[in-house]
Amino acid sequence: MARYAEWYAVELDGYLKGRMSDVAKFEAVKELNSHFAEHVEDLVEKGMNSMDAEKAALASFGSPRDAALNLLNQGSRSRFGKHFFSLATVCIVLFVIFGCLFMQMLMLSLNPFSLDNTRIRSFPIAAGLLIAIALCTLAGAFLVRRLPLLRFGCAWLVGMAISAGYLLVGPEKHFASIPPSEFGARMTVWSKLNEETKELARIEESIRRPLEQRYSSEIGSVVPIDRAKAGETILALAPGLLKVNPSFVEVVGKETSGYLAPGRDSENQDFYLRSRHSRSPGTYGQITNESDHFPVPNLTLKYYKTADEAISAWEPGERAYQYSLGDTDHRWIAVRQHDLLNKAMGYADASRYDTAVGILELTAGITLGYLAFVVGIGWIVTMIPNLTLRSSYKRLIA
Amino acid sequence: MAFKGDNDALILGVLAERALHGYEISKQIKLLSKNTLALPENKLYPALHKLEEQGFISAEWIPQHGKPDRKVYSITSDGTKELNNHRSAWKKFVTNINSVMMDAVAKEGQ
Repeated sequence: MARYAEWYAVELDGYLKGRMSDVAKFEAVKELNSHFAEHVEDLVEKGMNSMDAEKAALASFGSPRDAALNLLNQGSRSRFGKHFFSLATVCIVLFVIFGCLFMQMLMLSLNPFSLDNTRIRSFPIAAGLLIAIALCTLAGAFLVRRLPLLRFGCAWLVGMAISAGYLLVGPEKHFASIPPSEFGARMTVWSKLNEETKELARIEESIRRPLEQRYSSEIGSVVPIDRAKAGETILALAPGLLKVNPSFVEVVGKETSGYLAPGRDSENQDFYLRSRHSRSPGTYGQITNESDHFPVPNLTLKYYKTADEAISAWEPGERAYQYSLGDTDHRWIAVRQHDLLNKAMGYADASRYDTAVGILELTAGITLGYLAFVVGIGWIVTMIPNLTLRSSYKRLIA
Repeated sequence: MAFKGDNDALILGVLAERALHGYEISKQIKLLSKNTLALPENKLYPALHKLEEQGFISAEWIPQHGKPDRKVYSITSDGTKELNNHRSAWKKFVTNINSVMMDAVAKEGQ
């Protein structure tokens, strides 16, 4: 084989390496060699000298890179035909949807406690979305690997832009300041919180049942509360069953029902009293006059007329609710629960942030690594053995 | 003015006569078209590979003495059907063009 045909074959082989199966690549190079030889022979027969014939034959092919791209592009198009882009789009859309659903199910199943109406649900969505984007980027890299690197770069940039945009404007933009280094402590808190939540639920249940039995006749009724006799009124709701936390309400030592939830203005220790005087477990009954304020040493009680108002006023992202359910032991659990819950909420925010950023970094890392591999290793493997031939070819063309 | 699938049609057209290797296909297209049509190498082989994947042509490596082996392509029965489709489409295309261009010339003559 002529010197420059040999160089062309080696160069073409290098461009096709890793982008085409070995058998297909071998056959493509072999076929082009055959064509080149025939063309040169033909031109020589027509009176051209061998060097000019080689130059003309090489020129008819175009550069090895262009020849390789033509072969590769044709392969990818013919493999998937005209439905290639439709199939790729459908796959990516399904990937995102099922990725989100899967992550949501997974994370909700791992969620140690149920926080309705909180942002905790956005975590699995965010994680699922970002993982899906990362995987889509990789899938895109696989799909376009036979195309020029420019397209791959564009696919990567789009993936990164979507991820970064989601972090900047999505529901996870307000992240806690818990440093990622506290990950171990975070897991400990979540684990402990899980145990205590179960214990608290058991205690609450033991209190709720007798309350509901006692006041079942008053379900749905409005309980009037006189400002001056707030303590007594509260007392009367559940005599003998519950005690209000003395640090919160001035009816120290007196018995009452209901529990306290933090209000909007947590700085001023605004709390709402919610009666456990309900139609069914987990819902709130009507209580008394709207927005009555009761000055107490450490907080102000606000009474909401309906449960919906109380719930809508409660912003769980700011403070977790706390119980004031009973005797000293219960109160202690409630207070500790409160602290843990606050801390865990912060940790949850930090976890969301860490996860989102981690996935973003993972996306960037893997795709950049892939690019580095393709560009770096591919260049070394392809180019270095041919440098001598390349320079002489350039001299020839010049 | 383009006729879609022209490269495929040209390749199938020359292979309908006999089995040829890549360089011969390129030469044959030039020869039959009296050097008015040319299928450049960078288009020829991708088109051949595509037609082979589609099952319109088949290929066989023929060993050569003292020269590189040749990959010889021949048309399949599916390829013949496809060629007939191309021919029908081409006839329709030419008829339509004629009806626009030649009728206009005839009217001008009147």
